[in-house]
This record gives sequence, structure tokens and C-alpha cells, in this order.
Amino acid sequence: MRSKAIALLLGALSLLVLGVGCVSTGQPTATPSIKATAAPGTTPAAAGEEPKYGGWLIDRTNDDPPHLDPQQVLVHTLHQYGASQSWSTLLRYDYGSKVGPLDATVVGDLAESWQQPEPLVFVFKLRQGVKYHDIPPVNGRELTAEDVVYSYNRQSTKGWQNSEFLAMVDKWEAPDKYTVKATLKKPDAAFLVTLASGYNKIIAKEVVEEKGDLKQGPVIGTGAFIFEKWEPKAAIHIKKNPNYYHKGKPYVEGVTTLLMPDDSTAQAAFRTGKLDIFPTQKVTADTTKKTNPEVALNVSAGSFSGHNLVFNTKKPPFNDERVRDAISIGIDRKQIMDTVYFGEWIYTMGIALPGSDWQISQEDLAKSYTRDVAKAKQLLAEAGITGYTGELTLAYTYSTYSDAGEVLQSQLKDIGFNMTIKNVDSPTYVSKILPKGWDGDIYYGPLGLAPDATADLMQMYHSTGSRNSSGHNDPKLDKMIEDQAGEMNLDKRKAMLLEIQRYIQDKNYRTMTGAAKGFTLIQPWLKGRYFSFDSRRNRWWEEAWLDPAKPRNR
Amino acid sequence: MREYVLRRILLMIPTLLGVTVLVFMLTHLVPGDVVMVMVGESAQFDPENVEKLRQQLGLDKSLPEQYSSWVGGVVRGDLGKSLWTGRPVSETIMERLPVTFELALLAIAISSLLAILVGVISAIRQDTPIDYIVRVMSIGGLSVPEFWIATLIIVFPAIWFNYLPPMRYTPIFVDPWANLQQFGIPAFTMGVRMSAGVMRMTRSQMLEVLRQDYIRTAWAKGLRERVVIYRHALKNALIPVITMMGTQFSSLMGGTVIVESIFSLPGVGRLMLDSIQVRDYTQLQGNVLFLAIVFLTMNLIVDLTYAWLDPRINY
Repeated sequence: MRSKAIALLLGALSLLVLGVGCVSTGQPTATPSIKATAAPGTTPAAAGEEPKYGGWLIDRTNDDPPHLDPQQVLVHTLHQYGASQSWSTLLRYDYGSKVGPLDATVVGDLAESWQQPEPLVFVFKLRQGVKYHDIPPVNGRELTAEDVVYSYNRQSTKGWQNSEFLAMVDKWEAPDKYTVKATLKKPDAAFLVTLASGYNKIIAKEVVEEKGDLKQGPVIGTGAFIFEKWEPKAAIHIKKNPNYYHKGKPYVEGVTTLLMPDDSTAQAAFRTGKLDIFPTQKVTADTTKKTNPEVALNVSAGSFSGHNLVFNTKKPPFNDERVRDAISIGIDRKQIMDTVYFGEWIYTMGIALPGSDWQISQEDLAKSYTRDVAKAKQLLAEAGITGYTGELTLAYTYSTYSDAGEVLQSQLKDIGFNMTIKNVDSPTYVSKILPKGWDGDIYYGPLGLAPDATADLMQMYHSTGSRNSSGHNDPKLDKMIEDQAGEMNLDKRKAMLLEIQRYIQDKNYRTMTGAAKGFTLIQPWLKGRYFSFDSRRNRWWEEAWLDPAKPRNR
Repeated sequence: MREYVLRRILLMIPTLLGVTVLVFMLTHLVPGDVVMVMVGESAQFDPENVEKLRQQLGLDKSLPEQYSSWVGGVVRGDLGKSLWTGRPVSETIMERLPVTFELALLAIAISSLLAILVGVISAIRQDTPIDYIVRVMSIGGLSVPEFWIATLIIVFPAIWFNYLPPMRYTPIFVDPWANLQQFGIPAFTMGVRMSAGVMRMTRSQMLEVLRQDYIRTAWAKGLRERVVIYRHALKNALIPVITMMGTQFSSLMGGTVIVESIFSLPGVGRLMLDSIQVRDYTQLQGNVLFLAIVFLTMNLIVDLTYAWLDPRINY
């Protein structure tokens, strides 16, 4: 059981949305039309089926949230499950059967529309008549622009983990009851995408004023579900908000999120009908389908994140571009990923791009990543390297990384790199390996992404980036990153981001071996589960409904 | 006796002081940094922000300062607050304690019943088929990992009978039946596993005692088998067994993490593991200190039990 570490590391990883770059043109839905190369999210509901009301949905998570203050913590247990459904955001990502898993189109949540009258100014018009949950001390009063400004100012408190999500904003203002104005510090193409992240929740100031913070609740927001009860280390219950501003939703009466740290227990619970949905690995999905053939299986398109291979460019021989190139083409990504994901994976660049068509195509990536040991050896010979003995640091978070790392180790040996494996646990990986200043040889592990490409590029690829663990110093790349950050024209930004990808592929400061696809088992009675981008925040619970025609065996 | 107990309690103080030093040092020597874990792998962190967070948590002070501040609190009965939840450490431990205590108690009860009964039978029927079967089973029990038995117990009833034990913790005073359903299987899993060692110890001790002169005398006096075995032999054979069970109970107070995870039981074991994995220094220090107190107390109780079992022992 490594639930907590994994929860921490991959929780942040899975939650942090893989953003879409979009620029407001005055309409909330006028964001770029970005299509995922993979099939859009699917739902077991047959086309044309009318959603039915009623029933209680059962989901599962692997741990409790540490507390209930969404502005002071970045864990998926609070921002994805349970209480998270009680809060709204100003913007959100679109979802539905036609929205692909990597398609993060920004739409309004509390904002009805927005405009960008000046390059640095965004003005949001709020929905009118949105009511907080009817719980003291807020007692169902109307949400106003002041609440949004209060929430964002509080979230921006220095030292708070969530403050970085709003760091690009100079000031928030409320010119009138239903208008929110944001003034940025500098032009930022990623502003709306970042703002739409689930971390930027709108809270109720009365609770903070009464209790000092939100850590012990009560949870009061304007979201689709009202927080009902938290049984520590057992379950969180939320119930339908009858006054939700998206009229007619949600369909279910409530959701219980059971705390089940162990995957085999969760699998048994799903088999016996005590869980309605079960995200899992391919092997577990296959064995479950054997005993429960009636359940539906969704295979998602993968992600922009995945398995990350980083070279320490500050020390020889990895400071030589030819050596890095040799390793990149000397390893067999297909074999590495097939070993742990049985063919269910995709190539990735490891950057949260605005959409999958903003990434170098799968065909081109496959072509450029074809293994060529002879060429690798030739490059090494040109660099004067006949062999190297060093350390390969592996993030021991999920066994998939360490298993894949062992395949990588044997492949490196084929080109003369005798690497000793050093496993590090999740906290060590996050604290000592990922930040700038790491002093090893090569590391291999998971990659967490920010909501948008700019943040990822600034952190990992900019010479001054806090996560520039490869330690490179490349003024040309720095300028390319900075230029695209302020480019508000979508087509131009897309071209710039593609150029950056080709450049970093050429430099190989770090590279990716691939990203796994996601497997989710769904009970036959659960309908309306969309695997669109926003489903990472479990907003799909708003759309979900339980089919009374299908017997539930729980 | 009173003087002995008092002396033992006083001796606990330097031991616990040593534990605080060791725990604090080891906690801070483990690679990894709670602040960076909080910031997360994915966050676009600003070093200034990280330092601010470090200050807020009091981790910017020197280690001696942090230690003295923590120990000062401990002396006053304050174990500090969790770096993650902000809740008092002792409050969280006390919340989890009933789960682990109940699980450990049930497991020990099941283990003792099984082990002593089977151990005695095995000893008095030495080198018979029953003895062989019991010994093979005990070796098997020692060899099979607990998580494997627990997983099988969860998985197969789900496949064969569509049955899953309750997975939501219900306190015993709220619903005793639901509580027993949830604790029964994990306690049985642990009890059976633990009984293997105790059974072997009971058997070997019984074999030794059964060869003593006073047992031969008892037989010669024409006492019934039950009286000889249970009144004269077993009571004398139990001293090392009790020691073993006392140690097992102490270990269970912090070592049931796997079973707690598989059966979704929110106990001290999981709290301990969670604290390690997120580098929650204060919670971890509090947990270990608490376990040290449990160990020392259990050792004292076990020592006092000797006097009850063997009148020759006098404190």
C-alpha cells in the first residue's frame, strides 16, 4: 500500500489539468475549436436516452482530504472528489459526449460572458440569482462579484499552495454587483485556461470570518451538490443542490465517495456492485470484465503527461547534445511502454498543450523515436564516449515507473551506459529530484503538468525555471517560451508551440517515453459519464444518471 | 510491588526522552521535504512562496530550536499540530486508536484461543498425525504473508458469492453488528497468522514443562489429565507465551497497516504510514512517541503478569 504517497504525487498529477490555450473574444464559448486525435469521451448511455432522476451514486477515492480549505491545499481528494462538487468556479472546461479527453475548451461557470477590452484587462459578467447553499452562516444568500474578488484575493495569499494559479493577476475588482474585473501583470495567453482550473474555487467569506479558515468547514458554495457529511477515513456524502444554477441538474440525489485505499478491495467492491465506477489498469479491467461481462469499459486517449526521462546537462557526458541524442534514439520507447501498459499508451511531448492537435503528431513522434542503436553508437563515438557508468534514479511511486525503468536500464546498457538503479520514494522525488539543482546523472519518473503549456515550459524548459532539473541554459529557448506566452493570436501561438516542441526534441534536455491510456469500468446502470477534459474534476457527476431499468446488485 | 511499578514508570522518562531525540533526528534525516511535497510536483512554485510556507509551518527555524519547541510541548502534554491538517496530533491519534485497539484486541483473542488450544493438543499428542498436521499448518501460517490471505478473503467471496464485507468504519457503540462484520474478517486474518508463532511457542513450552518432576508427581498422584495439563502444566508454560503475546499486541498497535488498508479501517497503522509518506513531521513524531509509550506500558503489564502466573516471582 502506497496509497498516500501515490495519492499525493499522482493525485496532483491526475488533477492538474492538461490545459488548452484559448483567448477570449468576447463570448464564453468562443474558444478555439480543438479536436482531440483520440475518440471523444464516451458514455454508456445510448444515443437519445432521456436522463432519469433519482438514485445515489457511489464512487471511491484512496484517501481523505487533509482538511476542507480548498484554497490551501492541492490534493485531488479535495479538488476532485467529495466536497469539490460543492464549490463553483468562475470559468470551467467544457464537457459532454462531443468533448474529447484532451480538449479543454473554456466555458463560463459562474461567469455568463467575458470580454478583453484591453490586452491586460478581462471583464467577467456573472450569472444573476446564483444562490449559496442554504447553510448558516451564509443562509442561501446571492453570490455577487465581491465574493469572487474576496475568494481570489484570499487564494493569492503568499505562501499558500494555490496562490500560483492566480499569480499572473495584478488586481481583482468588482465594479458592480455582477461584474468582475481582472487586471494582469503582463499579457498572458494562458490566463483563461489557468483560471478555469478546478483549483480556483469560489468560497463564502462568512465562513472564513466566523472560523478563521475553512479547514474544518462548513463547506458552503454554489455548486451542484451540497456537502452533507464527512465520516473521516470512511466516506464523504454530498446531496443534490435543488437551487443549482444549471437548471434540471444534477440528476442523482447524491454521491457517496467511499474511502478505499486498496485497489483489490475496490475491485471486489465494483464486482459486487458496491461501486458504480472504477478507474483502473488494463490488467485489472480485463480480469473484472471476465467475471462481470455486463460492465462497460472506457479506454481514454492518454494524456500529455507520462514517463519523463531527464539528463543532467550540467555534467559530462550529458552536457554533450550528441550523447543525449544518442540515448534518445538508442532506447526503445515501444518496448519500455509495452512492457508496463500492454500496448495501451501514446507518444507525448510532456507539455500541457491547448489540444492534441497542438502536439507533434503521433506518426511523427513515432518516426522520430524509432530505435536506432547503430546511429546511437555512431553519435557516441563522435562524442568520444565509449562507455559510461553512472546512476539512473527511478521514482518509486507506481510500480509501472520502476518496472519501465528496469527495461530502460537494460536498453542503456546496449549502448554502453551501465547505470545503477537508485529508487527514490515519492516525497524525495518531488523534493530533491524535480526541482532545479538536482545533481544526479539521469532520472526517470512521472511528470506532473500545470494547466497550460506556458507554465510547463517556464518551469521545465526556461533556464530560470524552478523545475529545470536538467540544468540547461538556453537563451534561444527562453526567448521562444517568453514570446509564445504573450501571443494572443491562436494560430501564431500554435505555430510557435510546435516550433518549440521541435526545438526541445532536437536538444533533448529531457524526453518522454510515452503516456498510458486510462481504463475505467462502469456499471451498466450508470449513464451520462463523459470522459471529457473536465471529467478530471468529476464535474461529470452533474450529468450522471442511474438507469432504473438496469438492476443494481449492490 | 508499588515501589517496583513506580521505579519502572520513572525509568520510562529517560527512555522516552531518548525516543524523542531519536524520532526527531530520524524524521528530519529522511530525504524529502514536507514543504515541497505540499507544493506538489506539478505546481509552478515560486521559491519566495515556498519560503513563506516554510515560515508559516515553523520549519525555517534551526533543528535544535524545532526540537526544543516540540519537546517543550510534549512535556506540557501537547504533541503539536499536524503540518498538513492543522489538527492537534493527539486528537488524531485518539480518533484512530479505538480502531487499532479493537482490531488488535480481537486478533490477539482469536490468536490466543487458537494457538493455546492447538499448541497444547500438539504437545500432549507429540509425534502423532495431529501433531504433524498442526506443525505443518503453523509453518504455513508463518510463511504466508498477511496481505495475501487478506486479499484472497476479499476477492474470492466477491467472485463466488457476490459478497463484500462492510467497508465503511462503524464504531462499535454505534452499530455493534456492523462493527463486528467489519472487524471480524480482518481480526481473524491477523489472528490466524499470529497464532502460528504463539502455537509453536506454547507447544515447545508445554513439552518442556510436561517433562518436569512435578508433573510426573501430579500424574503419580492420580490427578485427572485435564487438571494436570491445564492447572499444573499450562500455567507454568504460559510465561514466555504471555511475553510473546504482549510484544505482539504492542506491534499490532502500529503494525496493522496492510490489513487496515485492505479492509478500509482507519487505524493508527495507516496514520503512521500516511504521515511518513507526506513527511508530516509533527504527526509522525507524535505517532512514534505514542507507540513507544504503548510498548513500555505493555512491557510493564507483561512483567506484572509474571507475578500472577508464577508465585515465585515477587517484585
